[in-house]
Amino acid sequence: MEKATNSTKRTILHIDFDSFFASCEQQCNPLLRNRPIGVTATHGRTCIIASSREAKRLGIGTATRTYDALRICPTIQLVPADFWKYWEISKKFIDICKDFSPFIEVFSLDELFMDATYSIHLYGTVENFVAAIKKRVRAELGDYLTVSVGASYNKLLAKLGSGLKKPDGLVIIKPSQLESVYSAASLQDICGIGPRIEARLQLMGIYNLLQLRRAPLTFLIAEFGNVEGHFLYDVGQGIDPRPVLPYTQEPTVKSVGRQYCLATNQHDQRIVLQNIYELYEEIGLKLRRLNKKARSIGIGIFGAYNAYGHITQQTYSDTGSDFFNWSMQILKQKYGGLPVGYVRRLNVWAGLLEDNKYLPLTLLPEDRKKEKIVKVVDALNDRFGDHTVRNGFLVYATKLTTTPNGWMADKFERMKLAKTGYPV
Amino acid sequence: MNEKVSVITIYDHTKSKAFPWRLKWRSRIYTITKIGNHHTRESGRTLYHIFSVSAGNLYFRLSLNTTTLFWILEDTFDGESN
Repeated sequence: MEKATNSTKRTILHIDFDSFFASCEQQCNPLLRNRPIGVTATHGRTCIIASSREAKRLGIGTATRTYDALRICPTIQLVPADFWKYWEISKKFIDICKDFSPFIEVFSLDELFMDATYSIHLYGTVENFVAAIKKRVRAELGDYLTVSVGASYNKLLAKLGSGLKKPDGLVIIKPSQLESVYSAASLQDICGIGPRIEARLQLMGIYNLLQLRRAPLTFLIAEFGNVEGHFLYDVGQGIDPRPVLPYTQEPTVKSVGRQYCLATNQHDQRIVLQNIYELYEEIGLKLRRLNKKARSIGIGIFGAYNAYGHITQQTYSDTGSDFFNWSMQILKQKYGGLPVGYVRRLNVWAGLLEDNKYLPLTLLPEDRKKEKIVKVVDALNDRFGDHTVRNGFLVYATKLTTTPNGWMADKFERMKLAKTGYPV
Repeated sequence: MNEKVSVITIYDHTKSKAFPWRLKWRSRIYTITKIGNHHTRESGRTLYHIFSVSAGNLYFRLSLNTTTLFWILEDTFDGESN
């Protein structure tokens, strides 16, 4: 693995697909090309999660409500998201990139960092190197998918560069160009500076990156604390010692969670409970695939009311039914049961994980029986597909499917990628 | 949609590529003019090959179940908005 360094002799690329989800849909279906389209959640929640370049030009972006999008452009085509398709295309993309450098960090479903320090000489210049990648993307993934590339001596500036010229752009930031690039970029162009930090910086009289560049470290630490203060100071100086972490390196799993927006604001308590159960079943399945167990779980219910809490047990578990029962304990203790009112969003997680190999085997016959049943159910579902066998409580419930999300937060998929080393 | 359809496929050994060429759906035959994308999907141990193709002004999403070798037409689109 590479070590952290402040060297300006590295060549780091940040390669980012342009309007990825929408472009994938336009690549697959030529009838959608050159038209404004919006990708929506599969179950039809009223929000656009990604829009095409044509829609962006009309002011329809991520998080625009479909009602507003249709008002702005009545002919906009709404397409349900297909994350497995995007992940498959992303894996093909990683496969192309690993032919150019083995040091690839998958940053999210549609962007990655590449340390090309040791392979750039094969192509002479950064421009030739990037042109070769773009040519392969066009030939192997499709003529409608384009990438924007930022090239610099660290990840911070490479990421900044890829966002400055879209679509199909290439921005190279050399150490000597830092001031001129900073004069053209805004604070929020930096990955890690959001609206809240920007607002706090503005209160301090820092309105742009050049002013941040001149801010003293002590000044930033006094306002933001040690960690964030150092980060902002480094941003100002164009410093980022973080290495490119190869995707072949197995990720550390500290917790497993899932957030889910219900298709409609749900008043039916049975349906809400079924969804909570299903989400914990998914958490349990992920833990079993990772060979881990958890002894702490959390729940968040958002809608007409906000109910949340967590509980830590003395025993470990990896079954959805246990987690569901624990979560009911939380709700009973804190709220006297599931509060009344509609529910829009659910959030569940499991933490304090431990590897199965470090945990003692249970001696209780009922627990051993339960483990056997879970194993058999998993085997059946692996053989015949998810939800083939499920708890009776979920018989008529919606089938939630596990899909890789845009941030590639699914540790199991990351682990699979790391273990195989070859994504396709 | 999930309708069973008849499909003629081509395997090109020079390019090591297999792809659908003609499709018979509801008694009409469509010649595929463009392959937009091909990817795979798993359900249990069954592997599906998904082809996003177009024939003139129609788009089709076809899936091939590699266990049964059945073709299913999953979706169509004629270019009309929503």
